[in-house]
Amino acid sequence: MRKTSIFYIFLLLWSATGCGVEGLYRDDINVRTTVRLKSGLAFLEGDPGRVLFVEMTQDGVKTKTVFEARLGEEIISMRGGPAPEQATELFIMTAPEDPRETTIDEALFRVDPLTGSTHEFAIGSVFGGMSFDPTQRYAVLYHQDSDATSTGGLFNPNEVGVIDLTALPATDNPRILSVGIGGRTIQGVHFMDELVVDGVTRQIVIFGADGMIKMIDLTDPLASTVSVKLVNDDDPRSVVPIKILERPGDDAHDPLIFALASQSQDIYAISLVAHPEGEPGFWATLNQYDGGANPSDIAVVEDDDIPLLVVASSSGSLVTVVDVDTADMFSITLLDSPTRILVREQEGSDEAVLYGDNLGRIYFLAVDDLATEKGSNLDDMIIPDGILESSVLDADRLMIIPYYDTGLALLDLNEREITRLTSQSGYDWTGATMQDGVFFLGQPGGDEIVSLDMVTGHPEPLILDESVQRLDLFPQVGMGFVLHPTATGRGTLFPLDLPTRENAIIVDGFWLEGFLDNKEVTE
Amino acid sequence: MIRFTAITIIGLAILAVSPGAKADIHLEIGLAATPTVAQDPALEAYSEKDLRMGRFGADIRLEVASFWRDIHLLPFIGYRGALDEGDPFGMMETGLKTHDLFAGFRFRGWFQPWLGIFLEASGGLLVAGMTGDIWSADGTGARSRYKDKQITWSAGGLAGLELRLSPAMLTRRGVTKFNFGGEIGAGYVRRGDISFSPELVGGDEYSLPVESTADWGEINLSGWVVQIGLTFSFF
Repeated sequence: MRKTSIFYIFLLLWSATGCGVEGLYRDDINVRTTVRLKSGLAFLEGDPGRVLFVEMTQDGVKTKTVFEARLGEEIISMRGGPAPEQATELFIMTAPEDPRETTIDEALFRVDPLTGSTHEFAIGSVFGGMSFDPTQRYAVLYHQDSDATSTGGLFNPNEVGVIDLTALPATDNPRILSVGIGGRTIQGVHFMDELVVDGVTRQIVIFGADGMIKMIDLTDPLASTVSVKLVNDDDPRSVVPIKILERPGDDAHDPLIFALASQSQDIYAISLVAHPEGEPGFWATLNQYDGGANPSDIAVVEDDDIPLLVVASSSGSLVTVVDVDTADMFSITLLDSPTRILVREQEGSDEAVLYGDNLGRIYFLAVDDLATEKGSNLDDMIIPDGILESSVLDADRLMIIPYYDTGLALLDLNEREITRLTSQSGYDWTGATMQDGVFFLGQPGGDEIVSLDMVTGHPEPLILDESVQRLDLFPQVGMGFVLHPTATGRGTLFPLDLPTRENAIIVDGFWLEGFLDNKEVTE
Repeated sequence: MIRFTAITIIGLAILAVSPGAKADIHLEIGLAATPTVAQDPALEAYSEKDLRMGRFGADIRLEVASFWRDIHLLPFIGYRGALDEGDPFGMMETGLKTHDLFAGFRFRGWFQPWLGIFLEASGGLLVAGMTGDIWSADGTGARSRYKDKQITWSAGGLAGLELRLSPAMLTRRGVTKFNFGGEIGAGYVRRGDISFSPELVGGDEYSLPVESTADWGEINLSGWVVQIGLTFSFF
C-alpha cells in the first residue's frame, strides 16, 4: 500500500511539472529583408534565418519555405538576381553562426524559389557587396566598409569573387581574385559592355575606390587587371567614381571609358590600349577634362563621329561640352542648373535632354553640329508650375512633380507638350510605379492604392482594409500585391487591369503556414 | 504506457487477495479534475503553461453488476472541458477550447470498506475549437480573429484508488441512501490528429473577402492524464 501511494505521488509530481520545448513559438517574427522577384516576394526572417517565398498567382498566393540555415550556420544577407528589375533567383550569403564553428564555411546559395533548385558556391569569406553584370552571366562579390563589422575586422579588402552564373559551382567557380587596390575599399562596381581592345573582345568590370579604379577582364582566365589612379595619394579629397560610361573603339579611336567622380571637377577619360610591352592583357592611359562647376552627370554623344562629352553641373547654371579628341571645351549658359542628362533620339538625330529637380525649365541640346553651333543648338521649355522633382519614365517621357502646385504632370519629349494628369493633393507621386500606361501609388502608412490612367487622367482609388507597408506589381501574372503590417503575414491582391475593390481579395497567414508542424527551436 | 500497465497489474493483484465487498446497484455522480500532459509540443501555440491542459468535468456512473471476487462494473458517460491560452510569436492571443464527450466502463473492487481500486476504459469524441486574436491588425474593416472547430476521436484508460465513507459507519448513523468519496488515478488518452485551417473573421460587411488563409498544420492532444475527483453515490 505504501509503495502504491508513493507511485501515485510520483505520477502527480511528474504531471505537475509539465513538459515542453523551451522557446517554441516564443520569438517574434522578425523580417530582416524583403526581396521582390518576378514571381513573388521573398522574406528573410529571423536569426539564424529562413527564407519564405510567397508566390503570386491570379487566384491567390502559394507560400513555401525555400531556404533555411543549417545547424551552426546563419544567413547574412539575401538579394534578388541576376536581372535587377526582373529577378528570378535568390542569392543568399551564409556564414558560421559562431567563429568556433569549423564544419560550416562561408557560402553563397543560388536558389530558384519556383523549382527549388539550389546551388552552393564556396566563397571563403563574407562579402558585403554583390553586383550582377547586365548580361546576367557574372556575379561579382566584393568587400565593403561594413564587412569590418560583420567579419570582426578579419577580411582582405582587395579580395573579390567572380561567379560564372552559366556554370555550376566548381573549384574554379567562383574565382577568388585579389584586385590590389592598395588597402582602399571598393565603393562601387560598374560593368562595361563588351569592348574590343587591340582586337581582343573583353568583358571589363570596373571597381571604383577612393582615388582609383581597377579594371578586370572577366573573360580572361588569367584575370589581368589594370589600375588607374585618379588622384595623387596625398590628395585629401574623396574622389570616388559615381558614374562610368564607355565608348567602343572605332577606326579613329581606342575604346574609351569616362568616369564622373565625387568631389572632383574633372571628368576622367581612360583609353584602353594594347599592353605597351607586348605582354598579354591590356593597358590604360588617362586623360582629364575640365568638367565645369560641380559636374553632376555626364553623357557621351556623337557629332558626325566626333565623340563629345556633355557634362551637367549642379551649380553655375551651365552645361559643358568637351571634344574628346581635342579636349576643347565650351560652356553654354542656362537659366538654372539641371543636374541630369537623358540622351535620346529626336526626329532622327540625337539630343541631350537636361532635367533635374527644383527647375523652371527643361533644356534640349541638339547634338548635330554641336561643336560648331554651340549655344545655338540649345532650346528650352518653360514648365508652367515649375519642377519640384522630375524623373525619366521612358525614352519619350519625363514624369514631373510640379513645384508650385500639387499632383503629377507628364512631359512628352517628342511633342514637347506637358500634360497635367492630376492636381489632387496629398499624394507623393515620386513613389509611383507605372505599368501598361497606369501609375500605381501606394504610400506606406496609407490605406489606399491609387491607379492613375495616363490616357484618361482618371485616378481610381482602391480603398484597403488595412494600411500599406509596401506595394509591388507582378506584371507576369497581372497582379498587384499590397503587403500589410499585420504580423501574421497579410496582403491584398488585385488585378492590374481592374484595380478596384470589387476585384481585390485578402490573402493571409504567410507566417502561420504549417507552423504547428514545425516544432524545432533553432537557437 | 509502462506506468499504466504497472498500475493495472498492481491493482488487480491487490484485488485478487482482498476480501470481497457486497455489490449494490446505484447511481454515482463524479466531479473530476483531469489535467492532461500533451505529448505534442504544438500545444505550446495555445498554452502558456507548457503542455499541461487543465481539464474539468463530470461523470455519471451506474453500478450494474458485480462478478469474480466482487469486482463491480459501472458503465458511465462523461464530459471534460479545457480552456488554454497562448501567444505564439507574440503576434496574437490564441485560445483552445476542448470538449471531451465519452462513454466507457469502470471496474472497481473494494479491498477495504473505505478503500478500493478502479480501472476504466473509455472512448468518445473530442471537439476542439480554436481562436486567435491578432493584436496588430489595424484599419477599418481589418479582420482580426482566426476561428476553427474540428472533431476527432479519443480513447483512453485510467486506473487508481477510490476512497469512500465507510458504509458501516454511515449505517450506524442512519445514512443508507448516500455515500461520498474521492478518487485519484492516472492513465493515458489517445486522440486523433487535428488539422486547423482557420477562417479569418472580423471586420464588417464592407470588408474585403478573404480568399486564402494558411493551413496551420496538425496538433495532437494525446497525453498522460491524472485524475482527482469527488464521488457522490445515491442508493
